[in-house]
Parts: sequence; structure tokens; C-alpha cells
Amino acid sequence: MKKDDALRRKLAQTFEDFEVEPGAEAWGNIRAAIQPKRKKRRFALWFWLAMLSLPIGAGLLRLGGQSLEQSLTMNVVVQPEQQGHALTLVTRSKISALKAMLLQRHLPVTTRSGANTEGQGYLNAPAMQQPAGSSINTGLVPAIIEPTKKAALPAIISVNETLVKAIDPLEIVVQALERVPYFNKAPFDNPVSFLPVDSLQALTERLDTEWALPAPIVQRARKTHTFTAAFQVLSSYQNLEAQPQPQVAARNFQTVAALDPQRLGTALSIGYRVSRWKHADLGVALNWTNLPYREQYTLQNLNQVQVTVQSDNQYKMETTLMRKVDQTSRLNFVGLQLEYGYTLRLLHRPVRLFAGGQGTLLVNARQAQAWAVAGLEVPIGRSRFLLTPNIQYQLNSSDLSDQLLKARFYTLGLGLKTRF
Amino acid sequence: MIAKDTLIQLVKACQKGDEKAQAAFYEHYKKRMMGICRRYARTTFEAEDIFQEAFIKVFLKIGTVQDLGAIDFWIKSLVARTAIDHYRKNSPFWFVEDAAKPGILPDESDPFDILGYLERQEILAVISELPDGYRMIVNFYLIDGYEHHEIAEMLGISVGTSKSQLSRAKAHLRKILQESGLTTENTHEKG
Repeated sequence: MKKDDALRRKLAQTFEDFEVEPGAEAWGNIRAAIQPKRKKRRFALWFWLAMLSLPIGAGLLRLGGQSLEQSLTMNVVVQPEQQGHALTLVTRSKISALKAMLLQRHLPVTTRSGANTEGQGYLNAPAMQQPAGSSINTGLVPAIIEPTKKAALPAIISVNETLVKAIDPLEIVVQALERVPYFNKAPFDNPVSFLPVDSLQALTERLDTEWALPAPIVQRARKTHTFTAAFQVLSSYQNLEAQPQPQVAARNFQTVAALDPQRLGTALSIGYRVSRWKHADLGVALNWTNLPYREQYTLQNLNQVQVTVQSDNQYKMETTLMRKVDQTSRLNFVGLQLEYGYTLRLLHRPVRLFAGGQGTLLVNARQAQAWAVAGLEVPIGRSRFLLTPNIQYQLNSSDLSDQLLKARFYTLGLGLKTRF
Repeated sequence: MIAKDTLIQLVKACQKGDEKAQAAFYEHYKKRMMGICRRYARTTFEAEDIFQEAFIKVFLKIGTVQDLGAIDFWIKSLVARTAIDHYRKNSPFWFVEDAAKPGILPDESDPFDILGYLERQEILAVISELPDGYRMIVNFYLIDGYEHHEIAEMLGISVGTSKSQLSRAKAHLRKILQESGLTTENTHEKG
């Protein structure tokens, strides 16, 4: 043990000041990788300012704007492992170049034409490390594509089945490639080669036609806590119903159902969502809803009969007209919504279905209500900035006008929701 | 060399996301961290990969550092863990849990003794030849001074496996040294 300790001390001293200069491109790559986080914060501030200015600038009742969705996408920039070539920055959206690099990373070196300083046959390595006469066997490329496709296909299918896990499919495909026996039998433990740019382009073109990888999935930071903001335009259909009113013995109560497409409702909400589960999430949101309301009814009391004498000495008996109303107004609701969301993959997009309930206060009448809510969200675009049309159906009922009326609203909303 | 107070100020600025501070911080640590990566990696190329992964983690997680005085240890530990993750990801079976008792291999002459007689670059070359798991163990135990229970925790293996892996690493090292002609006699002569 003492012998070990002495050796450990000596080796620790030997390597205490061991320093190696990293590659010149390292800092650029690191900075590119950490930059999106910074932009996201700036965007969040901008977004909040914009959201606050919306209702002030456009008016509360006639807003027709858009709210925008910011995704948590990390706009990862991938840098090919090229040594001795001009660096090519490739974004995730350029899938074909990535496919090429995917293979490029795993193309084995077939002949060991010489050893570099690492004792391995890296080709196209920097001139200092590249042995004279080394070259890549590009004839091997077609032979590799077939087993690669074969190995990657199950992974691709698997990716398609689990898309909502927000996994980068390329990572899975890479893992599949690593299991290809050919690579295991490669002459070096970690076969790496670097294609010249023209070979890379040729390979890319071929892969585009022969190998259809799924579109890159937006890689989202696996956040378990998300804040949301939404703006919706609501089209509402209302149905008034009579309430039994024994104290006034109301009868012959007539109401008119009304759909007023000229007068739209609006809704703003700020929410918080917990996504600890694979597909599901739970959300809570504070909503403000403004709906048009039209009262149109006549109320007659059969207990009070009005008798009039006609010119031909005939009597005419009519029930007393108690009230005749035809007026429009707006109702304001403030509610706390609890919803359950489930995300599934439809048409290559993660679609979130949600359903829940809302405890609401009708501000006009200071009246508590319960609403049922259901809807779906579909993200548009792959960038960090996602637009999500939000269709929502909600059913609510309100007792209005001195409990004479019961109004049931059916609203269909179309809006934009953002996560941040 | 940056003074301790200045370094703490630099870390605080990095925690606020100051780009200039991040660049200065990178400049300060890059060579030392790359040195550590080189030791843990098989090749310079792999070391570059681990280095970049590690530094990205450093900047993304630096906000969580509370004991700013221990930033050196924090970074070193993060780099080591990144190396572990790197090799674990690329070869999932790099460590096989081994219940066998340590010392099962014949221990004719301790090959670690020979390392004491070698130059730094020679040691590096010999260690680089070791398989991933053995290289990790040798680095952790011999150079970075971690004890077996710490290594076991970092690698997610048992203490017994850590010890037996070290024994196997010795056996493997002995073979490499013999193939390289770096026998005990030769090194004594050299020394």
C-alpha cells in the first residue's frame, strides 16, 4: 500500500502541470452550443413585453392579433469532425448533410497505410499527423451504405413510434450504427475517417435519394415545468332557457337562441404546466374570457289577465306582458382552469390533446360557474418560435337576469399559444 | 495566472452569462482541462470531443456552483464525469460488474512500478493503449488520487469491481509494457 502511495504521489506530481492546447475551433463550438440559452432569455423578456402591450394597444374587446409560441428548441449546431478541412457548420435543419456526417463518423479506414502520432490510421488528418500516401478507400462507401440502412431502419421505425419523447432521431440511429457488426470488425477500435468535401457532397446527394430519414425532430430541452400564454378569438353560440320562477308564476316564457357571428369573444390566459410524464402533462391556467351576450325574450304572466272591450262589444283577454327584452351586452369571466394534456404524434407533428375543467367567476353578476374545456394544440415550425393554433370547445352555463334566464354558451376558439 | 479573488469575480460574471467573462474563463482553464481530457481519452480527437462536451456543461451548470473557492475541483470533477459519460455512451458494456475478489491475477512484478520510471509522454502513450475501462481506473486511482469507494461511486460499480478492474488493468499494462520492450530491467537501465 505504501508502495502504491509513493507511486501515486509521483504520478500526481508528474501530471500536475500537464497542459495541452485544445483545437482552435473548440471555443467556437462551445460558444455556439451555449448561445441559444442566452437568446431564449432575451426572447422571453421580449415576449412578455409584447404580451402586456397587446391588450393595452389593441383594446380588450376587439383584439384580432396573434400570440406567439416560443419553443424550447435548442438550435443545436453540429460541427463535422473534420480535421484539416475548412470547417462546415451544419444546422439540424440540413438533414442531408447530417446524414452524410453520420456515415462519415463511422466510415472505417480500410488500410493502415501509416501511423500518425496517435498510432492510428486517421486519414485526412492534419498534415503533421497524416502519414504520406494515406488515402480513403471511397470504393467502400456503397458497400457500407446497405448494411447501414439495414441497421438504421429499425431504429428509424422505433424513433417514429416514440417521437413525442423529443429524442433526436440521429442519436438513436448513431447508436444503431454502432451495433453494425462491420464496424465492430473494423481494424481499429474506433474507426474514424474524414471525407473530403466533394466526397461528402456526393454521399449526401446519394443518401437523399436512397435513404429517407425522418425529418429532424425539434430537440426540446426536457423541461418539467413550463409556463404558457395564450390568446384566443372565440365564436360563441348561446342558448337561453327559461328558469322556473314560482314567485312570479312566469309562463309562456319565450327565448330566442342566438348566434352572433359579428360579435366575437376573446380570451387571454397565462398557465403553468408540469410535464413529468412521458406523454402526459397537467396544467393550470388563469383565464380571462369576454363573450358577447344577447338577451332576446318576452315574458308574460298568465295570472294577470288584461281584458279589453273591442268595438263589436267583444271582450279580448290577454295575459299581461311582464317584460320584453332585446338587448346585447358582454360578459366577463375570470377563471382558474385545470387541464390534463396528452401529446401524440399525428402527421409528423406532436399534437397535444387536452381536457379539463374551469372554475369561473362571472364578473358581471358575481356568480360562480363551472366550465368544461377540451381542445388541441398543433405546433407549427421547427424553430424555437412555435405557433400553436389552439382549438377549444367549451360548455358553460350562466344564470342571469334575476335568475329568470339560464344561458348556455358553446364556444369554439382559435388562437395562439406559446410556451416559455 | 489569475488571482483567486479575480477568479471568483470571473465565475460570478460567468454565472450571469457575461460573454467576455466566459471567454476569459475558457482561456484560463482550457489547457489544464484539455490535459485532463487527454489523459482520460484514447486519442487527441476523442479528448477534443470530451473537452468540448465538458466545457459546454461547465457553462450550462456554472450557475449551480455555490462554493466559488472550490471551482477548480468542480471543473476537474465535471471533466472526469464527462469522460465517463462519453465512454459509457459509446460502449455500454465497458464495465462488467465483477464479483471476483481482487488479486485474482498473478502478480509477478507490479507494472505500476515501471510507470514511476517513465517520462510523462511515455506514461501517456502506455495508458492510452489501455481499454476504456482500465484507462479510467488507472487515471482515477494512480494520477487523480481517488480511492476505490469514490471510483466505485463515479463509475456506478461496486468497490470490489473497482479493485479487480485495477488488477486487470495491471495485467493488461504488463502485457503492453512487455510488447513495447519497456521491462523493469530496461527502465532501470534507462533510469
